[in-house]
Amino acid sequence: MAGGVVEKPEGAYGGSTRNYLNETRGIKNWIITLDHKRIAMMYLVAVTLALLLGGFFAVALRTVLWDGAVRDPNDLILGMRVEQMYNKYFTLHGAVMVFMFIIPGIPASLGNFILPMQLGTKDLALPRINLMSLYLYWIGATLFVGVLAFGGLDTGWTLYPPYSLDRQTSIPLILALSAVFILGFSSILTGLNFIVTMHRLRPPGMGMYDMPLFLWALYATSLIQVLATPVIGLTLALAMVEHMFHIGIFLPQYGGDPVLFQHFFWFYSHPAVYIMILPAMGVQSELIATFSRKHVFGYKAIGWSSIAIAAIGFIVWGHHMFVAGQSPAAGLIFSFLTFFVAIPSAIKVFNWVATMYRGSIELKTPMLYGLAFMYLFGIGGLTGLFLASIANNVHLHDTYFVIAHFHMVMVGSTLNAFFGGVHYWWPKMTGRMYNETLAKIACGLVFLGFNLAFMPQFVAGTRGMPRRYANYADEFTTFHQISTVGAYVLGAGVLLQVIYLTYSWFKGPRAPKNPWGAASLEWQADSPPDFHNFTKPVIVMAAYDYENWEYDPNTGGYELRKEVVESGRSLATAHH
Amino acid sequence: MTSMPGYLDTLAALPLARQGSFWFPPQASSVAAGTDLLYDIILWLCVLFFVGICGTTILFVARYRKRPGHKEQKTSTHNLILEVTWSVVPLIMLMVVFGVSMYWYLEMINPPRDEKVYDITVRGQKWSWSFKYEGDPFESQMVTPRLHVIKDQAYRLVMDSPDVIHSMYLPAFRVKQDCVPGRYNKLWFRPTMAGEFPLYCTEYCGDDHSNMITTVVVHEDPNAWRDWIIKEGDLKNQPPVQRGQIIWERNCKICHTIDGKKGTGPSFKGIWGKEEEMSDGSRVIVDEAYVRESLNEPGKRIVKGYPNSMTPFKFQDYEYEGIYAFLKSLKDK
Amino acid sequence: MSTSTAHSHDTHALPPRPKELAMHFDTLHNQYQAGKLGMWLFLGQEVLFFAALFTAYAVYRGNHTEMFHVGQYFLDWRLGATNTIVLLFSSMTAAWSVRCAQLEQRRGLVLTIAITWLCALTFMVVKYFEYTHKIHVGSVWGDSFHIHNMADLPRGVVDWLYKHNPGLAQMQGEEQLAAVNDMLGKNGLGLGSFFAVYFCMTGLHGIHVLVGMGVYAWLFVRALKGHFNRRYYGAVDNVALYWHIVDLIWIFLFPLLYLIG
Repeated sequence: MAGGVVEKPEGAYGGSTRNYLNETRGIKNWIITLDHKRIAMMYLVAVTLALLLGGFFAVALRTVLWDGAVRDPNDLILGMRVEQMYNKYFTLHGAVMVFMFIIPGIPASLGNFILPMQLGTKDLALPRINLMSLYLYWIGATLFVGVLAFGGLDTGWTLYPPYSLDRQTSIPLILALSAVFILGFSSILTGLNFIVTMHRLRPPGMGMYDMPLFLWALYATSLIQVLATPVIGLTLALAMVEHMFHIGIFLPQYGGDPVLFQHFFWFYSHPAVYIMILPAMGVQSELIATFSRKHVFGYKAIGWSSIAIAAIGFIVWGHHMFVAGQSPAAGLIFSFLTFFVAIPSAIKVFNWVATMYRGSIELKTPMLYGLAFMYLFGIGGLTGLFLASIANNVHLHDTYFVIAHFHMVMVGSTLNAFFGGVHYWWPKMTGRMYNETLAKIACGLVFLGFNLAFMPQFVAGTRGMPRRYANYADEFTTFHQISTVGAYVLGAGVLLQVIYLTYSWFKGPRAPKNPWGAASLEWQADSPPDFHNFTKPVIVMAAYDYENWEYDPNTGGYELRKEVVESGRSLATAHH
Repeated sequence: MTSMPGYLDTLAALPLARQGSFWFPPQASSVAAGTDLLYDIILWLCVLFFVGICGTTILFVARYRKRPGHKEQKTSTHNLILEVTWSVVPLIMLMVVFGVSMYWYLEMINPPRDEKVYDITVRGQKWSWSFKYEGDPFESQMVTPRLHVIKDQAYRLVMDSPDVIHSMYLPAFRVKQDCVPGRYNKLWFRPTMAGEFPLYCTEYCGDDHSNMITTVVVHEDPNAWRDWIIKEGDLKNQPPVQRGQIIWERNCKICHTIDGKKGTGPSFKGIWGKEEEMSDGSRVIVDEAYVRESLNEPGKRIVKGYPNSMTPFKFQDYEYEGIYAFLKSLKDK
Repeated sequence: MSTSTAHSHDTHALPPRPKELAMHFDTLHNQYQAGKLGMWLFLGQEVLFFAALFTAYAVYRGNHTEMFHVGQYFLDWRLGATNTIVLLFSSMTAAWSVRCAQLEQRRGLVLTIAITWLCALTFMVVKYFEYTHKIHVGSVWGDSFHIHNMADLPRGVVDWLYKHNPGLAQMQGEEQLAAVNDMLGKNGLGLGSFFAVYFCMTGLHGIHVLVGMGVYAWLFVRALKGHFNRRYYGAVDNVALYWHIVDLIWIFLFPLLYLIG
């Protein structure tokens, strides 16, 4: 554990004026900072911008789809054929959302901020690597802006050759491939740093089984980031070389095999969907336990199910290629293995429900997101069963059913958990409270918009609506129009959040040290934390022993009980 | 819209029960009823779990919500028997689902062995479908706008692509298979309902992906199919202009209009004999030589302002004649 | 769980912190272990990075056995073996440099780092000659594969050509060359794919050697300045670990490309 403790006068808790945000000023002190909190906040701003950009494309493509049944395919909008415009929109929507928002979203922003603090330490083990990861993210993001500047890309985020590589205008393609390559290494470095930190900087007295479940989830995520991402890195490098020199790896006309690309791509990109969902599940574990004021039920089951999902995630990639011409035996094996992902996912959900049993459930905004997560992940996860069963998958593959399914998981669940996590840790990160009423309205809008947008797509999909279609048959018009309305409502919810959160950062009321009565170690720090995180010795205690904290009406938040502070020991231990 | 087939009219004419359910289009192939049943089994399993999870959550929120006088109670932090139960029971259920799914999947991939299975060669290309039929008396590459089959007859489709990956999707038959350049993929089905059903491309393939739509026509009577192929296949006996028009409808229509509107490629209206500027700045008169070169090596010289996205075509001499004649006829208009 | 206070010790009683110790670690040993774990994870990442290439190799080898059989004749196993020995030797000096750092033998440290760097340079020089020769012959990737001169062909390839096309002996000059390129190129064996695999694998490995040279140059400067001591030598250790994996990958590449035809 860290050595020196920054001394501060007694009673500085919660009322401190010096913190990581104002320790030093000026843009230079942010750009070259090694402080995990500042890096996390820069990541938070960056991924939020990526979310808004990706969201813009989502709304744009839903707008194009409003009257997709009745238009002449050769009609021009803004001088471009509707199909060409739509193809760029869905490509950029997917690429920006996947590579720039969902993958780095929770780990690099919330994880970066919270992980060292939940361990009671001062920083991640490798601060320079952390900063480098942020720089790589910026470089990747800049290259993506280059893609937009050079006219965008219409390959789909999956970049399947031959279509993706066999083209004349190569600048946007090369920029996009380099961008994803670099963003991949940013992700690897974050994961590597997290694993090292969890192994080397746990405080004395905190074993792996004493870590908050958010950290278990981040650990599983990091494993995937380190082990799967290099494969996509190499694949994209090969794709780039193939495009430039025609070496005959992926393009059939030069002797290559386009299906090999799909294997490589999904060997990463399937585990990558667990990079997206596992941190969300980690946030969920924290939210449900804290707002039920209950020790989480089945701690080890939740922790190990994260690892199990990560492990199984590596051996199911073939279920993306059931109709690509892989052998029927391979198809059946991948289908069989895919069902096993359902079990650890189900275990988590059951454990969360059991955690709420006989609790004292407080419906604050983060908990509302937690409940929404339960519902949306329920739908997202269960619809995965239809797709895992190969006989149905043949019909449903590449239809709107798939779109609805993975949006339920990646957006419904991950985005919800991201919002839940941001609202949960917002007081800690910024030292300010947001407007609870507005937050609940935004949460409602997001939930409503989300369901309107994606529920109709399940039915459109089973009825045979193919994905990535700018035009469609008349029978799908109603589904598409409800969906478009939903996209607007969802967008309004997100914008409302951005507005009141930005306002609260500057003008919101000061937050108490521990507004929710949570028990993990980060809540022992000030809000916002000191530059060195903790101004007083951290009392290491179990993450879910809520009786150590009691509500203090004077501060409007929770304070450690006197006997805990005096003895330096957790009440739970004292009771044993 | 122009390229959208009129299968909806055909569907509407069917008796209500055969128009399909809330979830699905009509069950028009031998595997459709089975996979739909599988879907229903999973659906009800999901409803059971979903209602269970959400119901319990709502119940807990209602009973244990924070309120004056209510305090959380400690409960056990784990319970091995409970946890094993709720892991193993779903696992068993899923294995049953897998078993049913495997049964129907094997039905879907193994064509029948004890009867004649007719081969159809399928070519997906940007942005049209070609079908070549076993038993076609003209032995030609039948590039037809629609796939024509006979009810209750087993078909095996051998599929590939000359350009990028496409995927042939017949929702009413519940089957789908990718057309991958450089390899042959196979698919079989047995239509069980006469009528006309949509046929989509479901692998993203570029600009006109969403216009790469046609239909499958299932003939009740084998003789009707025979009449159709004799009428359609005998291009040679058509007058050249009509011959060219049929070829245009089957191959070129998606990208090249004949009303002067700009598509993915230049419109054919008045293009014959015109001097066009190429993307490299040179100028070319559109005549027999240029048209033939554009068909065989489309990327060689492209009219300025258009993308290089056309797939090469090879035709018989009488077909080229038809194309020239058709293009000339568009000039006169 | 057992509990304790993390910052229980009194700040004033702490021993002076070594200047190499970052503020968030409490001992140099822990800091060293963290760096080392990070490096091991990075190496795990490297293995997966190359694993994709090895998979591509296996797929192409499985699909085109004959192509690999003939392609292997183009590679000079003597140059490959030389490079193998050079790299193995450099791995030894790299390991030695760690020992020197631990024992605070400054001259030995500087020397072993320099030798390692020079070995890497030798490797790259040999690779340079191999690459330029292939470009000269025309035995390169994909579509660009085109043999310019019959005389450039290795013995084994010529034997294979005559065995499969006895008529070749009757042809001359351009005609013969065209027939040869037809047999070896994309209309025949498709050697372009073999050389694509060859250049991708050795090229990516070569990039790693270049990175290694860069890092060793940095270590060289730090060693000259005397930055390392018996308690602080993590950088030397980690770079040596990296260098070992670069060596190890070559140990696989050499037989797969040069030896098993």
